[in-house]
Order: sequence, then structure tokens, then C-alpha cells
Amino acid sequence: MSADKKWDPNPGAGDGDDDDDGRDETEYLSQKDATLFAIQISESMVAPPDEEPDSMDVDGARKKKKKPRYSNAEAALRCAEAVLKNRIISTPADMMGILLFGTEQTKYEDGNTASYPNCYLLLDLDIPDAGGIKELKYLLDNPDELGEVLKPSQKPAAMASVFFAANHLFTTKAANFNSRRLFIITDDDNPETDKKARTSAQTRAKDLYDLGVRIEPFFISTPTHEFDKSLFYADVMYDTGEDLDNLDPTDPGSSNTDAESRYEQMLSAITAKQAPRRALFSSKMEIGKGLTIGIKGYLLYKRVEPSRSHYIHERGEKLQVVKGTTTQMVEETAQEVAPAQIRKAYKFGGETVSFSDEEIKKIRNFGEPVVRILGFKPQSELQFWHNMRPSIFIYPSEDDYTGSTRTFAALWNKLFKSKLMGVAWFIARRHAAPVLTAVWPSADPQGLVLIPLPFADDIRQNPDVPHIVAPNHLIDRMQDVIRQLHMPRGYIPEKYPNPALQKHYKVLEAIALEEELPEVFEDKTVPKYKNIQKHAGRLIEEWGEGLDQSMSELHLTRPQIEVHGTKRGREPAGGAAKKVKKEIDADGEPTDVYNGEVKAAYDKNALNKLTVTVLKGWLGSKGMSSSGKKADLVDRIEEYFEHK
Amino acid sequence: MAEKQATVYVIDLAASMGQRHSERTETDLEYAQQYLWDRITATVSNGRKTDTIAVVGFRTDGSDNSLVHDDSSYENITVLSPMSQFLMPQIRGLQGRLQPSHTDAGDGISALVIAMDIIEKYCKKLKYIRNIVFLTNGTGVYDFDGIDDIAKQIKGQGIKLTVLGIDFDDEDFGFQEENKDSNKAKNETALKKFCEDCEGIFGTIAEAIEEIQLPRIKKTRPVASFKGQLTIGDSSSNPNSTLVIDVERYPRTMVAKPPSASSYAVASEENVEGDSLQKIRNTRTYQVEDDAAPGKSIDVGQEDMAKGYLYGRTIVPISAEDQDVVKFETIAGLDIIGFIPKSGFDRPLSLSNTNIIVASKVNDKAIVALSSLIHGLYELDSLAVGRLVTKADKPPTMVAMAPVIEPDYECLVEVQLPFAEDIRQNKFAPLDVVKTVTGKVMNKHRLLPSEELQEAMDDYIDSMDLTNVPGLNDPSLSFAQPDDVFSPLLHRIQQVIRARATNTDENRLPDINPVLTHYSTIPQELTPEEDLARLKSAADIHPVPAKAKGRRTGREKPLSGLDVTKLLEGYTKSLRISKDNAIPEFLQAVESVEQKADIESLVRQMGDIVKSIVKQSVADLQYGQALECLRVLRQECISLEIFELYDAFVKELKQFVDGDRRDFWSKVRKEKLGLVLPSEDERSTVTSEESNRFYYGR
Repeated sequence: MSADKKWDPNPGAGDGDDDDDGRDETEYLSQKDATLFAIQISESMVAPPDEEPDSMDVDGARKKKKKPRYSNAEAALRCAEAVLKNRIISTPADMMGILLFGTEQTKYEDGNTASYPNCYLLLDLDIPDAGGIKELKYLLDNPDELGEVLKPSQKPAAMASVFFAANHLFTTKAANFNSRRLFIITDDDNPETDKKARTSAQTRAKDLYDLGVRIEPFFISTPTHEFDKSLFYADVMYDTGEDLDNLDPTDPGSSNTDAESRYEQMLSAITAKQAPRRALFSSKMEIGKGLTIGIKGYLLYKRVEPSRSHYIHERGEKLQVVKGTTTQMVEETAQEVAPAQIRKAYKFGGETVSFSDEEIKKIRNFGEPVVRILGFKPQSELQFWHNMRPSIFIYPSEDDYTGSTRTFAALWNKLFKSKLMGVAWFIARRHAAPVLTAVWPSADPQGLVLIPLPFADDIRQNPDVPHIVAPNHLIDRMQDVIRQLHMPRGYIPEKYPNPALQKHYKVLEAIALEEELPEVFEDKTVPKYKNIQKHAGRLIEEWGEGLDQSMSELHLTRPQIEVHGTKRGREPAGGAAKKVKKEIDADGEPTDVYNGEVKAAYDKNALNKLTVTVLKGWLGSKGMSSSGKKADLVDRIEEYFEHK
Repeated sequence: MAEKQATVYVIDLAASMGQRHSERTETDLEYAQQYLWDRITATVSNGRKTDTIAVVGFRTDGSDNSLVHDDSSYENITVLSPMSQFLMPQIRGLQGRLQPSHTDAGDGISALVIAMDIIEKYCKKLKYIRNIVFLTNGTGVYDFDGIDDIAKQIKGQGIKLTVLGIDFDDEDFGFQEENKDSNKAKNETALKKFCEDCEGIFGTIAEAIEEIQLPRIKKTRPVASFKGQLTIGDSSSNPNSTLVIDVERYPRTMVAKPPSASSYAVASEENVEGDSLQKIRNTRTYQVEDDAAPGKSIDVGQEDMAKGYLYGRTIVPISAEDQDVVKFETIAGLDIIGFIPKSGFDRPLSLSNTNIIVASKVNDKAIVALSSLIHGLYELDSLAVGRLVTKADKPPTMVAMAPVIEPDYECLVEVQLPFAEDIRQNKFAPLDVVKTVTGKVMNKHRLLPSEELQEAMDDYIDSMDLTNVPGLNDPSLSFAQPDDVFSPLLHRIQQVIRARATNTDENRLPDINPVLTHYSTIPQELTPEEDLARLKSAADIHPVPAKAKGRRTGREKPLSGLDVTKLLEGYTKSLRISKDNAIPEFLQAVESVEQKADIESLVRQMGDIVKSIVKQSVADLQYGQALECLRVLRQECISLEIFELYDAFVKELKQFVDGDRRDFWSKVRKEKLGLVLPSEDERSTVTSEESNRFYYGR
């Protein structure tokens, strides 16, 4: 059974220990999102991309790879497919669906086609599955069948039906989701000219709004026609306090005729919106006594881990995920324990010290959730090592205090301009442990960042390491290396996908979609060895010579490890130290003899009385350095036994 | 840290210790016990078997020690607790015995000899840290004959002696007792000299008590989390032009977690003595759904289970043997990717606690090599970016490393960086401009600070400058320097555990140590009042009234400002809610009604819809929909201040689902959709017990 332990979907459930702070983030993660893509199908949406002069001839340069060109509708579908795959990795519990509108064919679940004419539900709103993805892939790989599905109807679909279809899908499939979004991809800025149809669409849109569904439009402009939101969409969209621009008309790319770049632009606009903005918490910020504004907290970065494994059970043809339930029993009597019987207690002096729930609440209570600014300091006081966990981005909210945004903006301006930071007492949620944080102005996105500071209790001691400073000539050579390997743009996370995560999902995808396993996995986190060799190889060599020179200058005698030519990964770090052992063995000194003697001397605290030969021999036999003065040897042996 | 330790506390229990001095409300003994219990419970909470304690009382009513048989000078000395690991039974045993006696007879020096005897017999010649802590009020008889020999012995045995006296004079601490008894003065002087002779500590207990107010920080021995090689370049293809340094990685910061509570069961029988909590064992059983089976699920044995992953909704079985297919194979090491300018490092990229990277301490060459990298980075104002694998086959992490150069220490500090997948795609509108729906850029707007507000803010921030404010706990540190700030929760929990353990009869929680909350308010040194007043008036903040909260902003109108409510009138007038569009219609109808009876009707209709959805649900498929309606209903009832209507309905609902829809009730409980609490509407009188009984009870 023990081998199975790592498979337990609920690790830690067995030991009865709960970590009170552990729940912090899981609470937030229970927020689920459902996104429905609504893609308009019309003659202009399915029209093949404009032919343009072949860039190969114009530039004279050869394009490396000719990328396929898509119609707007197909580009939108391909975006949807990409988002679908991304979301399986980053938010596996979220739902997604694809609804085409304005199609000649009508397809809706339950055969309920009469209510939603010219709407084609290509992918039902649900957590994606392999079947759905395969179907979508098949369609995208077979232009004829795709053309059949994407055939526009004579008359466009009524927007009211589109909205109501979405309403129905969200209500029945994604009930109780905190985030529901309708992505509309269209190039038609005035779909309803008839007054009655318009009114109907406007009221149906209000229904969606009241249901908490956000409309996220992706409007496609063409060089000859700029999409005009005010014609129709401004009547169906509501201000939700978020940035509204998607395909920004001021973006030079958006008016580009090139269908290829339009697809890429659409993809980047949609992927930027693929995850809903989820606030960690709503709270208040006390800028001074009696000066309080409303804020919301967000995470800018959150570690994504590979999905957990599950137990599964095969019954007949069907695979099922096994659900585990934990029953708590009294250890001695094996009687089941009712929740009301459970008491939290701390171990102390071999027994338990318990508190009632009310008391625990009182103990954990350090006041209401707040970001209370205590004052301001120069940013230079924040050390690189003052970090404990991901920082929290905060942004003003007018929900509870009007005027929050302008006041927050004034605070941000001053901190940003004068290179200052705030220091704040921070309680994220009721009963959360208070921390001190730095309040740091962030340039992109504009806002403040809370950086939790370590407490005195969190600071660890430095281990002892001899202090030897490299001579200046060596430092100079190292600087040459550093200059050659300089990345002036800094660290750009987008350039480094997590290779372990990518492999995990590539394999799952291949198995789920019954495709070939890819043989080679690209790992972009591996250093660019060729470039390093090209730019710095010679300099590193010179540095190595400098290092040897320094060793003799400093009269250092502990070069146990060949700095050059060590085969990484084959030999353990202490590899060369083994040589020392061999040498002593070769001298014919049976090292075992020392062992008992040294241990006994250590126990008597009389290591000093042993001879240097014995001490060195013993150290050598343990693969430890045997250089230095006698006192050093004794220290090293003592340390060895103490840490044993 | 993990050295064995033996400590004997010698405490004066004379009748005179029952008196009060120096305007204290507690007796001398109670005063001394503050210190004693703090030390003892600190030892108990580390839970180490090799950190042992003995307690000796002197000037006790009787005598109980190993030497009194042969020598009457050891009378009135009692070993209250023999040398052992201190656990709750020892604590309880000791508590009853720390009472002032009815005598002032007994020799303190003899008690000290008993303590030395205990240590000698217990520790023999083994390696121990030996301590004697001696607490007295300094009155009575001290036999200083042969004291020089005793001092020699203490030194010889390596015992650390601490003598703490009640109201002893201490120039450094700044205390001098008025009208000191001449005998006490004489004893004090002699004890002080004695302490000097055996290199012990001598002080007044007030100072010791003051010191224990500062929380103790548990020291942790550094343990390397990685030992391997830092490399630049690929040694397998270019062995001569690859930089390889043996390095080790140790934590620099690591969350010190508060003690964690475990779950226990309260014994069902009432009259259980003492420790009435019983250990809980968790057993896990596994089920799959089966519509045909009673209870709609059947148990599955371990042997019938395989392992797999979810790809979306699709189950992907991967057998244990095939695990390697998913695993990402790696080789341990720290590979440098490149170097980045320090100034361009975006601070929010730091995702983790920090570690230090030092060279292998037994390898001088590595030390010099790393030193050149540290200084090189420092002089070029750069950071190194690396790919770290701490152990073979562990997933790699990206790290940034900054140089740290102190007078006698050099290292790199390393922190983890995000991968591409870790980026949360959040969009935030800029704070310095406002864009309108039509794309117009505005520089003046209610969301932007006016010049006046900006100036007031600038002045306020300048007046809140912390640069010259000292640390609140240790004035030699700067304000809010991490070394000056203690984890409030960690020490608070430790404090209450220790207090509860030593005061079993008292159920009050002790007041929080003010040291822990020093950093919760603006320091007194700052006086920004004038600037603050100006800032307040310029900011012109208005709280949104509670009633309006919970309502979404911009609810009424779309971006164009179109009056949709008017368009809706046709529908809302009927005051009928249809089941397939329940939530929007309910919200729109509620908006438009004016009469209370109409609202009651709407609440009733919505309630009926909830019940009907539950009733018609296939298994639990439609429960989410019902819960959503219920949540909206509850929210509206609270914001319309008609929570009584909701409470009445939810009680009815509980009856309704009792029976074959009881699983729905557990969802109601999970979503906390029960009775409205006073925190939600102050008129509510429901206590948390009542609320819980409603959720859990029948």
C-alpha cells in the first residue's frame, strides 16, 4: 500500500493535522469560469482572405514558412481551439462552448432548434473533453466539411435569439459559476436595424447582464470600414469596471490587410482575455487615520502545477473517476466521529491543549481586513531577499468608497515619481494572519504591489563558509563574461514555458486524442549553449586560467575539484574528493582504524589530543577535506558528528 | 542547536516570598514565577527529550533531598521535580508545590550544592549544556563558607550559573531598592562576587522579566536544499570553456509556521478525567457512481483502481509502469542562462521565499570562483538568471540571483521566477488617463486626481517619511526592518498555548503581548495631521451606503446610456417570473415594484421556482441552478431589508428537501445560504449556534 501513497488524491488527509493557513488560496480557486464563444457567420466572415502581392517577390527575401491564411470565421475557430487547449492546462475546471450564429444549418441541444433559428452549437458549454476537441480538429482539417458548417444563412440570425441561447446555456450548464462570459466575434457593427428586433436584443442583453454574464466583444475592422461600437453594441454592453478595448482600432495591426497578422492579432487579444479577472479579495486601504479607500487584490503570477493524478475504475467500457471519502474514527474505539465532536487542539508537553472554536477565532483575530499604511520609505530599503511569496497587485475599486480611484492614483503617482514605497500592516481576509508588506508602485500594469516582508522568525542563519575574496584580475575577467551574456531586456517570462508542465499535457493530449506521442519535447529553459560558447567561450577559458593563477597567489590548497572538464551529472559534486580517499588508501593506512578512535575522542571531547595524521586520515576516509590547521580539522570532525 | 541540555531551577520558597514589595500587586513568589514558567514552558514547547529540567525549592517546610540524611545543613531543601523531560504531568505536579512555606530557615548555598549534585549525577561526563538558574529574594541565611571551592567546581563542571534576585540592585538596569535590609544587602554583595568568580550571570529579576517580553526566535540549523554545480556553458561539448563551481543552497527566508492544531474527538462519556480528547484516525474509502446501486454509488476496492489523469473531462489512464512517459527527466544543477540589469528587474517577478547560494565550504577554489562571480555581478549592477534543478528528475525552476557582499560574508541570493504559464492575464486600465467608450483620452476626470489632490497627497507622503523613525521593538534597528518585526500569529498562538497549559483552572485568554501589535498602527513619531486634513478634503471620499452595496454598479444602463428599464416595462408590469429566465426577471421585477405585497409575491414566486427546480432535478444536475436562484433571492432580500421573508422561506425549504432531497441541503450549507446573520443585517438576532443548528440539525 505504501507504494500507492503518492497517488492519494488527498495527501495529508491521513495524519489529522490541518494547516490553518493552508486554505488561503484554495478558497479563491473555487471561482469557476464559463466562456461561450459566439462567432458570427456571414458572407464577409467566411470570405477567403484578400489576395495580396506575395511578399517573397517584394522583399526579395524568402519567407521561412508560409503560414496559412484563414477567413475571419475560421481564424476565430482556430483561436477558440487554442484557447480550449490552453484552458485545459491552466484552468481545468472551467467550461467552454462555441456557438455559431447566422449559419444556414441550425443545431441546438435537445433538438430544440425552433427557438434558436440559424444558431449552430458547435461545442456544447461544458468542461472540454477529448471528443469535442477531436471533432473540432477534424472540422478544421477538412475544409469541405468546415465550409458546410460555416455556410451563411440567407437572413442573419436574430441577436435576441443569440443572447437568449447564451442565457439558456449559462443558466442550465454553468449554474452558480461566478464568472460567465460571452465572447462575440463579429465584423458586423449594426446587426439589427429593425426597431422591434433591436429592442428585443437590448432587453435580452439586459437579462444577460442581470444574470452576471459579461459580453466581451472582439470586433473586426477592415481597412475600408472601421467597426462602430455606438451603432449597436453600446446598447447591449455594460460598464463592469474593466478595460474595454480589445481589438484596439488605434493599434496599427488591426487595420492591416494581412489576414495572417489579423489572425495572430485576434489570437493575442483573445488569449489575453482567456482567463477572467479574478480578484483575490476586496478590502480597504487606510492611507491615513480616517482616510479609507476601496481596493481589490489580484495575483499577477500564480504557479501552475501539473494536474493531480486520480484513481480511476473501469466498469465495462466506461472509465470513472473514483471519489474518495474520509471517515474520521476514534483511534481506540473505531467509533465514527460526528463533526460536532471534533475539537482543535495543540500538542504540548505530551498532552493536548484545546480551545473552543470561538476562542480560536478570537486568538486569530487581529482586527478587520485592511491594508493600513504606516508610512513611507525610499525603495532602496527593500532588499532583494525580502521576499516570501508571490506579491499581490492591488487596484482601486469604487464599489465601497467613491473617490477611491483618484486618491489611489495620486498615491501611485507620488510613489512612482519619488521612488518611494509604503510600509503597511496587512490582513487579507477575516482571521488571516497579519503581515507587514511593502507597498510598491508597479509601472505595468499601473497599480500598487503588496510585497509581504519576512518576520524576524522567518530569517534563517547563514551557514559558515570561509571568506575568501577573489583578486581583482579574476573579477575583471568574470565581468567580461557577464558583459557577453547580458540580456538587456531583462527576464521575460513569456519566453520560458514550463517544460515539465508542457510535457505533462502534451502526453495527456496525445493519449486522449489518440495521437502519436511526440518524440522530442522542446525545452526553452535550457541555456543557449551555442551562443554562450560563441560569445563567451574564450573569455571563460581565460577566467579559468585566472582562477588557477589566483589559487597559487593566495596559497590555497584545497582545489579538490577540477573546475574544468567535470562531466556534469555523471560525477557527484564531491566526486574529486573521493580521489583523496583513494590516495590515503594507497598509502596503506587502513582508515577503519581511525574510526573508533576518532569517535571515542569526540565523545570525550578530546579530539585535540589526536595527532594530525589520524585526524587527516579520518577526514580523508569520510571524503572530507583534510587540509588546514589542526584546529580546522578538529572543527570539521566535530561538525561531522554533530550533524550526524 | 540540537545539543543536549540539563537545567536546574532553584527557587526560594521562604515565607517571606509570600510578601509584596516595591508596590507590586503580586507576591515575590508570583513575580518570580512569571520568569520561571516562561522558561519552563519555552522548553516544554520545543518537545525535545534531551532538554531536561529539574526544580529545587529551598526554605521549604520539609526536606527531601539526597544529602540531608548525612548532613543537617541540607534541611529545608526539597527537590520538587527530579531531572527529566518536562511534560504536562511535571507541570501539574510542580504547580501545586510552588507555595510560600511557613519558614525562612534553610541555606541557599546548600540548595545550590544540591542542584550541582543533580547535574553531576544526571549528566555524568557526557556532553551537555549545564545550567543552574537560581531565584531568590536574598533574605535569610546564606552560608558562604567554602564558597570558593563551590565556584571552582561550577567552573570545572562547565555549569552556567544564573542568579536572579527580586529587587536586587542593578546599576546597568537602573534599579536600586529603597531601605534595603542590611542582611539582604550583604547577601547580594556576596552572591554577586560569587557569580563573578564562577563566570555566571547576576542580575535583578525585573530585567529578566522585561527581556522575556520580547518573543524568542527559534533558531534553525541551516540545511542545504541543493548541493551541486553552478555552470556557465555546456561542459559536455566544450569542457575547456565551461565554468563550473561547486555550490550549496540554503534558505535565507522561510515561513516560520505557527504551531498547527490537530483534530481530536471529544469523548462521548462525560466524566472523563483530565485529557478527555481522543485521537482521530482517518480511513479512506473509495466509491464510484452507479445509478443502479442503492445510494447511487458503490464501493471500490484498492485492487480495482488504476491511476490516471484528467484531460478536460476525459479520463486518461496511465498505468504505474507508464508513469515515466509523463515524467520530465532532468539532471540536477544550476545552469546560468544569462545576466540581466538589476534596474530592469520587475520586483513582482519574485515568487518565492529566498535562498542563498554559497560555494562548497570545503573547496577554496570554488569559493574564489564564486567570489569573482559575486563581485562581477555587483560591479556591473546585474543579476544572474538561471535554471535550477535541485535533484535529478525534479522539475526545473527559473531563478534570479543577486550578489550580496557584507564585510565578512559573500553569497548570491536566489528567488524563483514565473514561467510563461504562470502569468495571469489580467488587464487593468491605466491610472493616469481615462479612455471613454468612443476611445477619447481624457486627462481630467472624476477618476483622476486633481492638481489639488495630487499636491495634498505629495505633502502627506512627505510628512509620513519613516526614514528617521527607529524600530518599535529594538530602537537600534530601522523602522519595520524585518529583524524588528515578530510574527504576530505565531507568537500569539504559542503564548495562549503556554498560558492555557500552565493555568488549567483559568479559562480566560491572556491579553496579547503588545510587542506583537506594535506595527499595526502609524508610529507616534509621525505627525501628519495637518497634511492629512488637507488630503481628506481634496480626496473627497464617500462611503457607499450599505444599502446600495451588493447592487452592481451601472446596473440600470448599458454603455450608451439607453434606458432599458423603460423598454422592459412591458414585461415587468405583469410581475410574473418565468422559470427559464428566473433570475433576470426577478431582478428586473424587484427593481420596478413599489408595494410590499408585490415584493412578497415575487419572493414567493422565486421560492416556488427554487423548489420546483430541486424537485425536477435529475439526480443533482440542476442543483446548481436552484442554488443560484436561492443566492440571488437571499442577496436581494438582504439588500431590500426584508430578510425575514427569506428566513421564513429557507425554513420552509429545509422541510421541503428533508427526505429524498437531503443532499440539496448540504449544498445550501456549503454555500452558506441559511438564515441571515447579524453581520448581514443588523436587525437579525440569529446567533452562530442557532445558525449552525439550522444547517446541521434536523
